[in-house]
Amino acid sequence: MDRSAETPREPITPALVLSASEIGAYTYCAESWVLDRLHAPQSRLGQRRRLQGSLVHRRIGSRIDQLTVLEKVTRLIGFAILVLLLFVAALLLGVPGLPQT
Amino acid sequence: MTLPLVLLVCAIVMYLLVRSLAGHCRRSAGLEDGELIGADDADLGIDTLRSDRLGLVGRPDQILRVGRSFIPVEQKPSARRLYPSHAVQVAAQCMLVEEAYGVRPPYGVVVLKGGISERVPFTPELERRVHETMQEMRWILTSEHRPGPRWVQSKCIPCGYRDVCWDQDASN
Repeated sequence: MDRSAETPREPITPALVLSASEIGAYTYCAESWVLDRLHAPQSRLGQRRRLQGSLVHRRIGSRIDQLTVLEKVTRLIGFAILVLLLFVAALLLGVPGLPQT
Repeated sequence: MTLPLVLLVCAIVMYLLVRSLAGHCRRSAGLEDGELIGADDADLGIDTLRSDRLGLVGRPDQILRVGRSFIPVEQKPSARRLYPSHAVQVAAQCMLVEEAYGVRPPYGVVVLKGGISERVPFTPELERRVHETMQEMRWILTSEHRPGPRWVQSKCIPCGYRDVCWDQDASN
């Protein structure tokens, strides 16, 4: 893919730097994106919705925390199973130095 | 011999239990298989991705490593279906992920209400659309042209700027 046509020729000033979420917001409604940029006052309902949105995102974040812990524990138990399997196999084979079955 | 065997059985039962809990957690977060390498609003954390070349910044809600690819994930927990705005947002994140990791993501993921995940293929057409959208946005910012409100009932009624764009009579 030719990237030269897509790279802006003039340097982008900080005021023209865009975020991915802004691109989504503009596609959804261009006017509300402009109002957001201008920090126009939102209705109380709009503010509440925004707050609810960030709370839901935080809830997802804590679910992700649970997930990372559970996946770490899964790996740890998997490792413990491997060690136990080796130990049981060694016992069955009567490896010297281990208690006899 | 009995004790190691009992421990082994207990470990296997615990493994299956914890694995099933993790799977449930993953499904409810709408995450596909893959290693979670970053997550916003979580202990794992995620850096804001920046591209000076594109004049673009963004922070996906999660990034998954699937094989050699890095997949951005965007959570839209109140959306019942995929909108074009979701597709361009996740495509912009794909562009940032490509710049940051040097590997083009084949797709991005949008997670809808109820943990339903939708893959958005990161096609050259979609990438072009993101570039066109950015051009339009920058033109608005530099020209101070206002797009103006356009009444779309489903969007305008719940919008926080409804009173700014429309007086009560116009929306009824």
